[in-house]
Amino acid sequence: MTTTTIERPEPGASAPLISVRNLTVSYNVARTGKTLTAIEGVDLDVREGEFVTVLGPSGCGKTTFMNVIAGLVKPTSGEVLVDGRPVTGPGPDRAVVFQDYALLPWRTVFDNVKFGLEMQSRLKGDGWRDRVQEAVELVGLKGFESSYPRELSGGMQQRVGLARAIVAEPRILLMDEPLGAVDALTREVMRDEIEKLIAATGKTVLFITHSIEEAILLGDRIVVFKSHPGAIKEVIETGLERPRSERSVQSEPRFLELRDHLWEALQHEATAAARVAGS
Amino acid sequence: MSAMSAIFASGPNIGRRGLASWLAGLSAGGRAAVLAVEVLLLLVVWQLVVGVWGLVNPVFFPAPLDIARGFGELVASGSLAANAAISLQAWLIGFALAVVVGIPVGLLMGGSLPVDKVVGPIAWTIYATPTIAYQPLSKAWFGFGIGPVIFLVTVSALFPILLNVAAGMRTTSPSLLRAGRVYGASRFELYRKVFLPSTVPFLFAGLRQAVVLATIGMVVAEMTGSSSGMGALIIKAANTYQTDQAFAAIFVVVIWSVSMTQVVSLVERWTAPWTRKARR
Amino acid sequence: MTTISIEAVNAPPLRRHRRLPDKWAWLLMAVVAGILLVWEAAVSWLHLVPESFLPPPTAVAAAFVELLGRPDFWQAFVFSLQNLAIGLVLAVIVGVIVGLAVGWSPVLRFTVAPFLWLLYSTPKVALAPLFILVLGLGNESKIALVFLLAVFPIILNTMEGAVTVNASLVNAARVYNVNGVALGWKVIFPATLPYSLAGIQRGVALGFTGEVLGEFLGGAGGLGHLLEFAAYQFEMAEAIAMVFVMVIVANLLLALISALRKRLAPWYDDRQVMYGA
Repeated sequence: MTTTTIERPEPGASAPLISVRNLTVSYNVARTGKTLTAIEGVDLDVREGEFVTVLGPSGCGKTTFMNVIAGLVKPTSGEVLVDGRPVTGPGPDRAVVFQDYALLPWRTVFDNVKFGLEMQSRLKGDGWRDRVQEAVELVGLKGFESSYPRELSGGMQQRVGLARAIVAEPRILLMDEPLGAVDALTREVMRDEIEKLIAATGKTVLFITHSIEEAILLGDRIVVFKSHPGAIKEVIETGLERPRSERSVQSEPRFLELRDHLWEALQHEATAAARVAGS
Repeated sequence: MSAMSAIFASGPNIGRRGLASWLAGLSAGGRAAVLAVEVLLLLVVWQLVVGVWGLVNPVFFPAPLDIARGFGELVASGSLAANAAISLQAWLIGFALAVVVGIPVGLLMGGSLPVDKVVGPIAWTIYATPTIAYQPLSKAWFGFGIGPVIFLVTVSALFPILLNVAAGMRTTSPSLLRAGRVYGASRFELYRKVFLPSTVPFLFAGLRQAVVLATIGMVVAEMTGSSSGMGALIIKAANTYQTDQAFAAIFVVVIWSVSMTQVVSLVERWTAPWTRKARR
Repeated sequence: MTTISIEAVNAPPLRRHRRLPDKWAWLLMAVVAGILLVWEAAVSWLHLVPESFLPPPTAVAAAFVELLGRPDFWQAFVFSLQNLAIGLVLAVIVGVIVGLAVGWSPVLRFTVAPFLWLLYSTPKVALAPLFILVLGLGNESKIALVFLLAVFPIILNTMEGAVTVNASLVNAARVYNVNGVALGWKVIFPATLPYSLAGIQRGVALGFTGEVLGEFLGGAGGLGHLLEFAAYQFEMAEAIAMVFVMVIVANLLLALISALRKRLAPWYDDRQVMYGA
């Protein structure tokens, strides 16, 4: 609550929920003793209720970027403010959906979903059972409450990860390539579902992806990262109507225009990255 | 046993035809039946070669029926029960000691880097040395009887448990730890709800290994430094050319070893059902 | 690359940090020195334990040096290691061939593998007296024991390796028209090699047990015999020194196989082999 060092924005003006200021993360590679800069000088503001997709080639530091906001990685310089307060570690206002699901294999679906509530000591009373059940049903896993993660397909496991994230009612959902390890068909279905789910809950989302289509279909804004070192290349408003469904959007001229633009930008990045890696 | 089923389940499919594809298509019951027939066939051939045709000296390699007779003799004379009871006692005490010491020390090693760096190399060095090397010392220190047997069983079983538990702690998935931290787990909760459950499959792997090594330790200790127990029984029978009884005693030890491994697996299935294979 | 590095820096406090070999080696040495000091103090200075029961480290060190100067020690050394080497070479040859065959042929895998598993988990040391009965007190019984104890882990590990050799790897080879012997030599053998070496590593430890047990039971020479004799005479300093010799020999053998593994199969992550099954 003590925010003495931070200048509060003017009341009335819509303050950003997430504010990233001149963020740089570098770390020492123990094996070689060199310092590697993962991201450098990143500035970004995310408004409440906004769906921001972060697009970039692999190795551009977008996961590091998300980990800093999640509170898992400390910035080397610069800072991240959530609701005006600097991030010092993980907190209940942010939940993460991981690319590799990160479900506890010894817990059933139900117990995995309740994990967040449990860690935040919110299992008092009886209400939590209904909430967990509700979240399980929201992601379409009714009937699988007592299954173990091992018994589920990748897509279903990620639904558990999603339910675990939303049940704790965070203000911000951080999603690190959540569909990266899911098969193409499931991916399309889940994209639509995520879009609907987020629209219904009105959560602020930071969604990391390396798929151009995904970035356009889901995002209000697209943040394009470049690599070596990771930094923001450009930020684009998609300007597409919601609700969007995969089919209808893909034929819109704006979609095609965005796709061509992003494709060019990424291709440029990819060849640049290859040159750096090769040298 | 899961490794065994994995071997049946997977494997290169190339060249699988005829008998192979027939075998692959069998149900679990059918496979068991084929194996049973195989065992029976083996016993019959063994009986014929040794007992009927006399191709091998039965003193060195007695026929199945002779072994069965030897088993009967051991039971009738009461020496099997007496020696098995002593072995059982030494095995159980030694194994319990190994578990009681091995799990906490393993957890400590997995949880604390300095402990791991100091205890680890020492433990690996002792573990790498066959426990039989410690037998003469143990005999000199603990006398002629159950003492050295318990000592050798404990030393044999301790290190697989300890080292596996430590490895389980250390290889806990970083991604699960990250998830724990994101959802607000305290350090204590990370221990209790992420590190410990992750270690459970390793613990059971260590216990299974420990069962086999403990049994070897027991037999070695009893053969070389005790007048009672299954190992002593085997040695006495062999030295008096009653190899049928020796083989019968060996089979009892084998059955003990295999069934204790099964018990460990059963306990694992009961306490850690998530390690079971996916059904679908 | 990125994620791995993040782990290394931002790992939770309980996880393994980057190694600082020097620091930990010093700590280890300090602890070992401390143990030796307490041992010496308890025996020589405080007389908490009778010296005949547990001689102090200085006495053990003296006995160790004395051992190294004795010709009969080196005779025993050669005797044991020779038997071990012969038994192990036989076990490796038979183990790898049988393992590859059983791992590769589904029919053999079905009919023979269950018995191999059973024999593998059988405490075969129990057969030692019979081996001595059949083969006598000389080298043969020891070599046979080494072979018997060492061969099963080699078979089983090689078999697992051959089964795990990715079918796609084999298919890829077939696409390039690699067949028959070449397939075995260029694809299956290198792919199973790390598994075989893991089995050999276990086999060495068990073979050592076999050799020493054989010497205990039918003593006509060897390190085991020397150790047993020293303990029997209650020459505890010499007996403990002999145990150290065995610890050193066993660990050197394992280090040798490890080095071999790194050299022959440097692409392989040995953790997978050690804790995989």
